Amino acid sequence: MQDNEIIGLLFDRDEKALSELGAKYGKKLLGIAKSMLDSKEDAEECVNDTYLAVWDNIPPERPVSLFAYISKILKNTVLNRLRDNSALKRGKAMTVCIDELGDVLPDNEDVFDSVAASELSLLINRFLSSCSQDERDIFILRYYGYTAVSDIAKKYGFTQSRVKMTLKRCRDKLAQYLERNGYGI
Amino acid sequence: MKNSEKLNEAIGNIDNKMIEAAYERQAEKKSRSGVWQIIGIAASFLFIAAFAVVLSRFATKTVNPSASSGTDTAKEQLLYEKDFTDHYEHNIKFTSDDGTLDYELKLILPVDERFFFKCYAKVTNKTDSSIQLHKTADHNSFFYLENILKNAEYEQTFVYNGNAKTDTVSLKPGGSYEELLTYTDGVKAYMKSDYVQNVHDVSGYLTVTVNLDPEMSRTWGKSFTWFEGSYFKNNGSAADIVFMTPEELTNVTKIHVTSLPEGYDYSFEGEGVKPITDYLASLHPVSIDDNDGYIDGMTWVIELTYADGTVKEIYHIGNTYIHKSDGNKKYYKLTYEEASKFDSIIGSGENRTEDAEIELVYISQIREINGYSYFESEAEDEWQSAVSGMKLRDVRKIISVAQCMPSLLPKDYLVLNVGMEGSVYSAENAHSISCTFIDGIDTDQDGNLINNGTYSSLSIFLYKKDAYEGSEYISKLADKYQIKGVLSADSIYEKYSGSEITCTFMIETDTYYVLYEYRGYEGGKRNLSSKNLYEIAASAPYIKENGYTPTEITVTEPVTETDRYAGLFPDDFSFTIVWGTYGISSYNSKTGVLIKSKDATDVSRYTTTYKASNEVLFKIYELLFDKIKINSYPDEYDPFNSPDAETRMSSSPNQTIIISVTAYGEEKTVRCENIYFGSKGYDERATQFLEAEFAIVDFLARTDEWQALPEYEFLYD
Repeated sequence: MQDNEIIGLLFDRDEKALSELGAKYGKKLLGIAKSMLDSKEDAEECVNDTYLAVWDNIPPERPVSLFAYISKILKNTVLNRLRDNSALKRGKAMTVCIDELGDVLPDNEDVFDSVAASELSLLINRFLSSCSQDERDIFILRYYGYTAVSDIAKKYGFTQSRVKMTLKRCRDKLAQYLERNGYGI
Repeated sequence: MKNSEKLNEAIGNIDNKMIEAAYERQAEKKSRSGVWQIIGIAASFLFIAAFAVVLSRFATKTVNPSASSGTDTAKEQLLYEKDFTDHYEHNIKFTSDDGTLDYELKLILPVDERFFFKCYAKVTNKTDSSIQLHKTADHNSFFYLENILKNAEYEQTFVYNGNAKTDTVSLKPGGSYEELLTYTDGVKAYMKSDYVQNVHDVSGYLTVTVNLDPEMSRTWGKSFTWFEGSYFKNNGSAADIVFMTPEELTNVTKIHVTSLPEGYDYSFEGEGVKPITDYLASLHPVSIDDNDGYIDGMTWVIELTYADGTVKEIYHIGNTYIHKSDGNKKYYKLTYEEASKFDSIIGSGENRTEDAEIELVYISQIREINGYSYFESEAEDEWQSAVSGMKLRDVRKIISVAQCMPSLLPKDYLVLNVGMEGSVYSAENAHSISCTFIDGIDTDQDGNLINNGTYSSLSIFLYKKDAYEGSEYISKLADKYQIKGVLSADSIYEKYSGSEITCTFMIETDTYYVLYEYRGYEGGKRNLSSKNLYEIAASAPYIKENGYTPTEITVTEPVTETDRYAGLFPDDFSFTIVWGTYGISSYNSKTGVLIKSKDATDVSRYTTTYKASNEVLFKIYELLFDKIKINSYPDEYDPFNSPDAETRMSSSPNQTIIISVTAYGEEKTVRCENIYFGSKGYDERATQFLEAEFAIVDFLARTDEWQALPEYEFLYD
């Protein structure tokens, strides 16, 4: 089913929308949730919460990019849970990705202390806009979706070494970009 | 919170379109698309054809076996070696007319359809014992050898995988040769070649049939390709070029016209077919010898559907009109004037329906070189190039010179040819750059050649002194020629994604031409670096002695954007567009004011300025006036509901679209207010209107200015 048809069902308050949503994006969403959380059950719960949030927010909202919209809800749902519940454990994939982001700026000094989250997002958006498509897409799959390098390579038909090298170069470039914008160490 | 965690959270809020694009993207094609594959295959034959043409020049001469002399020390210059597991070798030896030079040519041709081969030419000067070694890697380079080989005589051996010998090629005056080989292991190969003589127009035309095994008949070819990229492939013999009789043009009920390279798709029905059949019927056969025109323009594939349902197909290639069918084959060639009519018929067809998606793309790729313009378009993830308004010879001399004829360059130029995977992203103002498309190579994880693909190639013309003095000059030259993006091998790596690049460096001097290739990873020993570049240039004896030639290059001043689009659309053209469901957005091209959401709490945060370039305005003018003919739409319009419809489509929420245009002092506004929220109109024209609106909105939403605006308030934060 097309995204706009799913949105149409949501606007019609037809619960079939949720089953269609699950059929189309459930696997992807669960993949992201599982990479962020250590527990499969918690991941499934977050995905279900995401469906409820989608039901509550559409309408009135009408997202242009449905997957991007719901995946953002999911990520924030998971992050909020991790923040609120110290008993929850972060998933290994997400941990590895965050470690990799440590390349961008070392964690020994909080250079973002005074930076609003929205400003940082804006900077990253601009940075990604300046990247090549390959770089941008690989970066997003890895650090937005926490996708394994091997899966990215398979999806795009690249070699793993190419994906790794592209990620390394992206991180280096991002560090330089942030530094140029006043967020270096 | 750690820096990395904050980054992680911030990445969670990146732009939705970027996320969507990354997840929607499919795996890269491992093999080329059909058209390019055929072109690639054809291109391999071009080389053979070119070779055959050269050989034909010797055909009327007495064959005098000659012995080569000299050593093989020059082989050490070769920086790249690749043996094919299944290949042919042509070993050719001959002596110049005056007896002073011995030539040895070794051609390596793969048996399969992959387009890659090697050619070595060793020239021994008997008087001073010097040896020159040449190596080419694409068919165009062979034309340089053609210059070397003129007026020579030859003998040839032909080897298959080194285990078999030989035969003498039988060359026939008039442009064909046949060859029957019997190898020591019993394998037989039969090759027959026909080709068009005027290689200046047609880059190759060849029929090659190879039967390597009596049990396995393998056929190559029957394809030819023009330099401008169009190709023709027939299924019959080499004489399958025919024309359409007037009788065959009656009872045609439908005509479908597509282009090669792909991109245009038109359908004509009813009365709409008549201009085309009239045009076809009006053509008058002439002898090929009478036509001295040039190939110009793309290939049109014209599919005629008759009342009885039968279908015939015509290939309209440049100025050559070809009927691809069975039976009664005749040769026909258009005059230049005749050929040019067809484009205008297609362009002005009132009854046509255009199946191609209306799409607004960045058309920043229009180039101008020495007064000639050419353009590039994006299709099937590959860049395609076409040339408009140029004679083919000029194209070869000016645009593709680096690829096809190094010897045509002024003698104080060097050629740096850098090939890379992926697309050329920022080669703007490229009047000193040529983007061409040559078959390249692909590698597996270990760096072995596994496949051929198409990669873009970017050529920068350098002074000898530039190469001699090293990498700094490349940067200076880039500034001088206003080349953006590509400055040196290192910066190429920065600018273009992909960890594997192929760099090719060609040096042409007054006496020889050497091509070096590097392939590798960043930091790898074989990767082309600025240092490599300098060393290569400095190690070339001719350049070392004569490299510093302080002659100024005459560079045509770049054409300004204003000049480039002058006269293409009215000076007073402007448009405004209002669209949206929640949070109405708008753009006014005259003021440049771009508002993402008029319903925001603080509208100023959602307001920016974007000044559309003439290029963009021209494209939008074309879209609104030429493609959808906006003046023909009513002032109050509902694209989802026919005025005659008994029931009406509506939705909650609804959407609003208002497009206003000004051109030649006239104003026109189409208001679609509170209409159904959808994308497909109630008829084709309505859908075209919606697609045009979407194309403009999509374009605006991709601008940096829009991207810099905050997300909609009502979306998830």
